[in-house]
Amino acid sequence: MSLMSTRIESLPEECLSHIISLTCPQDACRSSLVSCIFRDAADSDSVWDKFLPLDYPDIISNSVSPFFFSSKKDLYAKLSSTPLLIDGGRKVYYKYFNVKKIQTFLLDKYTNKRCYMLSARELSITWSTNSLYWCWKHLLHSRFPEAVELVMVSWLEIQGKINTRMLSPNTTYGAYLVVQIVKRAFGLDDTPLEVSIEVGDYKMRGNICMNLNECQRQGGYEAFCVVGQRGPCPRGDGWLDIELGEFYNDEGDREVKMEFKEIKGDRLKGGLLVEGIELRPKP
Amino acid sequence: MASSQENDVKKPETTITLKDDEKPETTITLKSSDGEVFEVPESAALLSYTIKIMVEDCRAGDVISLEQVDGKTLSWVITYLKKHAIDPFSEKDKDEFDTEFFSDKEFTSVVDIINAANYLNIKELLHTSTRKIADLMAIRWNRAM
Repeated sequence: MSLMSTRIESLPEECLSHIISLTCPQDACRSSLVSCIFRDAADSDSVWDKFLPLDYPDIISNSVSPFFFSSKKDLYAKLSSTPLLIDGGRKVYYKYFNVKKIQTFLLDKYTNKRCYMLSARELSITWSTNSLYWCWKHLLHSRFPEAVELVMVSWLEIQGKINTRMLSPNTTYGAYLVVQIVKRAFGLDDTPLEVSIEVGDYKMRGNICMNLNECQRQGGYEAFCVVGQRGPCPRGDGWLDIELGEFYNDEGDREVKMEFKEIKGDRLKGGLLVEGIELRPKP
Repeated sequence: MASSQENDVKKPETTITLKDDEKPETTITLKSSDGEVFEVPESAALLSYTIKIMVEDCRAGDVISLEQVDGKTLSWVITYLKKHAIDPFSEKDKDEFDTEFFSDKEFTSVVDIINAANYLNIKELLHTSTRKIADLMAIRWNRAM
């Protein structure tokens, strides 16, 4: 690469920046290590402007806490490393409750696509306004101010909605319910749990099997993942993913409806701690 | 003897009028940094905004000196310009030609073409050559990984 890098350094800086902007964020970072000339070209705002989403000013203006950045590269690094808490407006549910919609935004650094996570408050969870059935908690280890824990219920139904305009076009997305199973959990493995995704005419349904005994016997969350069966999988941040399904987002403007439920059996269930629903590109 | 009189009679002159597209096209003379000279059809040469400005500033028939482009690179650029000056030239044919044009060029040659396209201000060539270099760089980074 040395002869080639010497030759390419003969190009005007704006040309070199333009070339680097045609690669990807990882290659732009690698380029900046080649030489000082490459670093100046690769670190320029004109390069990172191309990698940032077009509506990034709107996104960061909705940030819950003040958001500062020193350059477009710094902005990209911040948006792709830590989920940004954003204010999604207010939501009125069950007529009486007016709550703030909190979401997180993240840029997937491998695909440069948008990821969103809807907080538990943004979801429609049947009976969640009644503290006998669901208990809202402030947790230090959650990205959101609150998560909600299932105390006890027989009708378990969680729904989430998002508009496809918020996501990256021409991308296959997976939707995941982000949960923890607390020690006192019960009833979640009695009947298969139903998951589904609906986008316009497209519908995808499936079943999830949990294995609480296995988890208690082995003492770890990894026990949930049984090869060949769909079940909760560790995310790496202490939470579990339960895949609700996947869909292809073309450039339309439609609502994605995501559902997790167990309403057929009469058995009581409890011990499911819900952080939210995340949408991220499928590899 | 009769034939000499006949030979003194001049034949009437015939005039041929050419249509516009049959007239030979004006050419512009370009000279590279290392002294190579090229006769280029005007329609091709004027795809370069730099050459267009230089032509406006000089007299007809003057040689346009391109100090920043060597003969080898200039001959490639001229091949590109001649092809892109053809009217009509469909997008599909353009893509096919561009792919073939760069297929036999080494990394350093493409860099020279970028330098030339930037100096000569040929937007399309700059766009395709920078795209090509970005693809080559991505391939090399992935191989190195």
